[in-house]
Amino acid sequence: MTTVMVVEDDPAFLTRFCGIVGSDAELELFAAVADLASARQSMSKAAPDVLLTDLELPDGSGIDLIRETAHRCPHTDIMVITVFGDEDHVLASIEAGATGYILKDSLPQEVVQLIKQLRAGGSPISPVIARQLLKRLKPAAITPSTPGQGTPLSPRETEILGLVAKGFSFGEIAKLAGVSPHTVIAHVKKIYQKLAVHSRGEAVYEAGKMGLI
Amino acid sequence: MKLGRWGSSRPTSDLPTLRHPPAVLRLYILALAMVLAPPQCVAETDALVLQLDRADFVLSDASEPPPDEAAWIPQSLPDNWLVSHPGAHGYGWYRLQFELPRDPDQLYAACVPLLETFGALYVNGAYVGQTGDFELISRTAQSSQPFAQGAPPVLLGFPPRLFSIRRDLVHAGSNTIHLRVWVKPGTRGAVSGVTIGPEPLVHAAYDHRVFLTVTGPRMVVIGSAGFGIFILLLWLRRRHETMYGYAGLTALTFAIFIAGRYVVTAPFIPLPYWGLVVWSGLEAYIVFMCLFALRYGGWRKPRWELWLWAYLIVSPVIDYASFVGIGGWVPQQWWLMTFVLTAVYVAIFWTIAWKRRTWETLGLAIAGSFKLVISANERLLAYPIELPRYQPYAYVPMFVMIGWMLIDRFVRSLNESERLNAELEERVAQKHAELARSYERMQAMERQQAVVEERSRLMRDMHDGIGAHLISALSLAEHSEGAGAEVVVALRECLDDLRLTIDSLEPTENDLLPMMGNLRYRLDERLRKQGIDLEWKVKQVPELACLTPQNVLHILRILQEAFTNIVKHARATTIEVETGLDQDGKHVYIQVRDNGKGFSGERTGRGLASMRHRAKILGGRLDIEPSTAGTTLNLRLPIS
Repeated sequence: MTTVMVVEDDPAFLTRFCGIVGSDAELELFAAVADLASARQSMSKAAPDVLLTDLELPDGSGIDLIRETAHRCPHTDIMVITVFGDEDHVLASIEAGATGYILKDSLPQEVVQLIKQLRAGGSPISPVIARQLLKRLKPAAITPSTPGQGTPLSPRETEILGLVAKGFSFGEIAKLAGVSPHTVIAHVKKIYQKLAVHSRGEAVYEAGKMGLI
Repeated sequence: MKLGRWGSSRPTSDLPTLRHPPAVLRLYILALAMVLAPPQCVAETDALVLQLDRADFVLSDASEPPPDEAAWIPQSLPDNWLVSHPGAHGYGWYRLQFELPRDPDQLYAACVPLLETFGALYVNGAYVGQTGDFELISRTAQSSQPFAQGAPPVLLGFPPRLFSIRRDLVHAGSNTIHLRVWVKPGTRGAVSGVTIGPEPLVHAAYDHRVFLTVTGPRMVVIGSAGFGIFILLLWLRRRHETMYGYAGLTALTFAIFIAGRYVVTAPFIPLPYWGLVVWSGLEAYIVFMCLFALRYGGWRKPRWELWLWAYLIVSPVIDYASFVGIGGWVPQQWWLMTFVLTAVYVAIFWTIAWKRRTWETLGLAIAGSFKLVISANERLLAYPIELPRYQPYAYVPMFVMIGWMLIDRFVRSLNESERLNAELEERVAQKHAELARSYERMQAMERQQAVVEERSRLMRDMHDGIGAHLISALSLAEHSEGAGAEVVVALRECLDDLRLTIDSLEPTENDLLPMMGNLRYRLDERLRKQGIDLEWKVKQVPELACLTPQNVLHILRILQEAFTNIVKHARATTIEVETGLDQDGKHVYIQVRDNGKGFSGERTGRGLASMRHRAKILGGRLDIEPSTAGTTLNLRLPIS
């Protein structure tokens, strides 16, 4: 059983997502809340397997919730609910610790499939976001090697991201790279985590520069 | 007759004020006072040295001192033959007497500071020495060019004379000195008082006199000639500064005049011609000084200058007549013109000084006046014996002033050019900053312009795209009750369109594939549901310069339209998307091929026209090749 918590301030969508979760036998609703405070309270004792959260919450930003959860409950997979899946929102969420995103208007079966895929270790990624990741997580030679900060991409990860950026599907990439589709999406999730680590490192590096720590 | 750029048009604030005379002027006055101070009469400081200025004179050819019975007449010294014996030349004898309290115990000496002729000295009847070979000189004098009657004397630079006297020649009590002189025709005879005393003391006085009348003038001649050449060279490099040309000529002609009159003792050409050269030098000097004064004052007086040049050309002729005579015509007083012209330039200098009231102009006026004083003395005293001795120095203040002017202007122009340079640099820096500012302003404006354009594009887009879709969805919802599925489709189209717009806003960095990939990423799922396989056969293509958000949207719309057409009408099972470089290397192509039923008439219309129109905006071309095996859509985009 996979427990799913939904954080969404729009009651209609909250109901919709709860319904989608409830309709699948393998998924179980952990909690459904509409704001940051309730979400924190719900997760104060136990953590869900999957957290679905909107970014615009009435009492704060979903990014904060993602960061806290990623920090406190490393075993929770976090998915962002976004309207457009646009670069700004998605990248900010990934940097905070999310490893997947879901479009608000996704069909129920798509939502279930994404949750399961994520739980199985795979993350979705669009070509434009892949391109941004390639830019941010440059190979080790170029990144300044501050300990604990730089988690550069491996050659395989770079290759996969490059193919994603060209618009190839996971299946096509798997064929081109000679691996299973499952490996490809697992790589993507790892890359997401690297970005999160990378951006935390950068934050630490920045803070150090400013004399905060 | 324009004055040089260093000339009179300077702002007065730059000039040294009248309160503080230039240091160089003060130094010079001090030095002049020290050199020219009348020699302390040795007799005053030491009773052993006697200054004899009373004598008896007799005009006599006798080769030994004439006896006391000769026709001696009392004569005070200095004696100027031009005054006391006008027109006389040949031999003359002076007799001087002095008393000594006791026999001398050391070498004695007699100094004759001024002996403008040849002389022989006898003490108590005994011959002591002489300054030239009388017989030889008188013989050559006979053969030399005769002078015209009433010609002015030729003045030559005779040095002071020192005669050492054995101490046994003088004794306690009364002693007598005889001085034999020979005056050359055409020169003036002049004899000063005689200083007699112990040799070391007299020698000191003699040395002072040598410095004043021999060494000093030589220094002045050399310095003046060097100065003149220097200024002339300067003028050669700056021809428009005629003032300096005249200053250089002034110094050179002055050197000729002083050399001829005060330094050369034995002229190397016959005397009348020598006198001619010396006088011409003086006249040239004065004329050039007048011209210099005019240029210095910035006075435009072409007529005056013409007259001055005429004087300069005519004068030597008249001088020749004065010295040698031309057909019996011997002008007597032409030399007075030098006095007149000297007065002219002094007046010019004083006028300038009065008008400008600067130390420089005042200094020039005072320096110029020295000469006037000397000339006035010559005029009033008719060849005074002593005063002309100072004439060489009388011009020196002038050259010191001109030298000072030069240095002053040189330094000033240097400073000025440095200041101008600094100013220029500052101005360049200012302009630079201004440019940077206006560039920033322009950039800000451009940014603003871009924002405005982008906003209007989004507005247009929302209006034509999502707005239109929303309206059709709304009308569907209103008019066909229960047709929920249709409304859902319409709204999905609406959302698709909005996503397309948002995708077009993502930074592409001129990379075509991620942008196309995003479209695929959005459509893939839906196509799969329709049973359509999407084969992605893209190849890396060069960056496209045209990928602005607006153009990206055009491309995305074209592709979306193509997919929509295929889904709606073609009944295809496979779509191939291919990208690559065109054969011409200047275009990138995007090919969308389906295996549907092919192109048919119903698929023309607004959609296709709009696609072609967008391709045209992109600077590219859209080709559609229908066939029974499917349709190929080919979009060509320019690389640059």
